[in-house]
Amino acid sequence: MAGATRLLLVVLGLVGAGPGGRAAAQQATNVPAALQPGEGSLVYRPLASYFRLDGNGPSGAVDMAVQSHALAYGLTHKLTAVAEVPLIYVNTPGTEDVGVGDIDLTLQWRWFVDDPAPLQTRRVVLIGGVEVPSFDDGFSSESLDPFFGVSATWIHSRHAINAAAVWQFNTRGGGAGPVLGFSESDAEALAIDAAYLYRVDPASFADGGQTSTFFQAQLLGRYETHGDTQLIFAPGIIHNGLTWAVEGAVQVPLAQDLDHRAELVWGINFGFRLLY
Amino acid sequence: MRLLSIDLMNPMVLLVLGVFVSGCTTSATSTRDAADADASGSLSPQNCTVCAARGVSAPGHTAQVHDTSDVATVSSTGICCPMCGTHAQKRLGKLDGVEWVDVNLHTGDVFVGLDPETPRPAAAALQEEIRKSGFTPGAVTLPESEPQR
Repeated sequence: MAGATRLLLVVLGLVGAGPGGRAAAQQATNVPAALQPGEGSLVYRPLASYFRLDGNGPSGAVDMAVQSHALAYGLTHKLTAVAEVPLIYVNTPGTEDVGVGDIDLTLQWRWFVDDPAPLQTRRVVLIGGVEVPSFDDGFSSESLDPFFGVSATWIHSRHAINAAAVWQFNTRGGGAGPVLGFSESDAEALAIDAAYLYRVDPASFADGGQTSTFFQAQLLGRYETHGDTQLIFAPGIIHNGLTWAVEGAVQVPLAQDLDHRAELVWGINFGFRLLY
Repeated sequence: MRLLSIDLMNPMVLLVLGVFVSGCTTSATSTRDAADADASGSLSPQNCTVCAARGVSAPGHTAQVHDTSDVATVSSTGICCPMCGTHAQKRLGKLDGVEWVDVNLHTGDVFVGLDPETPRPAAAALQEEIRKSGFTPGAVTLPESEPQR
């Protein structure tokens, strides 16, 4: 595999592993949640990520920074529109490049909700969208790739679980179109993610409280139809107030069987969520 | 003791914090009678109707709000974090006649301060705004007094 192509795959792959994009208040950093902005509410979610990839490939060591900007708007209380644009910087031995990655346009429709009590909810949303090519050479799949999936969220007082599965098609068939951000060829891809969040503080809202802090433990799984698989563990922290949240996570690979792109050594995410 | 480079034992800081907290107890005096005073004779934030409703001890609103607002209460479920509550606050706050909105996450009660001089929104309207915020509304308790026209 040519070095440049391999780099492209790495870039697009890790962008796909980044923000998740379905911005809401109480969701893990990298896992889509069934939580949506209220009708007429806008959430802006910038997320900065840094990744170190293995140095054994033909491209050598790769350092990559991604600044992703996501906007989520509540069209109705059941339907949310999300747009997400990644700006990417990559640094390999002897080369540096900056570009715009493919743009994710997503609709998220709430299919099920059950709010049995205060501080408790169970929700399921259906996710559908398309990855629009930026046509930025070296940073774009240059194909219009639809994706769909489902996300479920369970919250019970201090505990929350998010689980999501998203399938992404590859309309470029046989070309070099990366899918779900993870690799080239005509492969399609499945992302299966899960997260557990624990509210560290406050232990109870009985005495009030206008902020809360969560520990998050995420598992990010990827399967591609040409056989590449990857499982990443991403623990982190989310601290939110009335109209904002700050979040951070580290990414560590648990298992990787990759023949079409470089392996992840480690990564970090740091971002904000701002409610308007 | 220092927090974010703020010396919490600094007299000026204590003064600012004291003013902040005293705003609540002052309003308590104006909205509750002497029977609400504790054994020491002073009023705690919990004696203040609105502060108690909020479940907080250092609110950022003013005594004037306490004195001029009637309060409606909307029971709700599904609000799970402070930012979730803000979604409800934003929507309810846009209704005519609504002066302020507070959410008690622990009980799920959403308190809506109503302008006594403006026709108040109907219970169904309050519930609809909770629903549009993405949560499940329950019973609504409206103040007994009629708004002044």
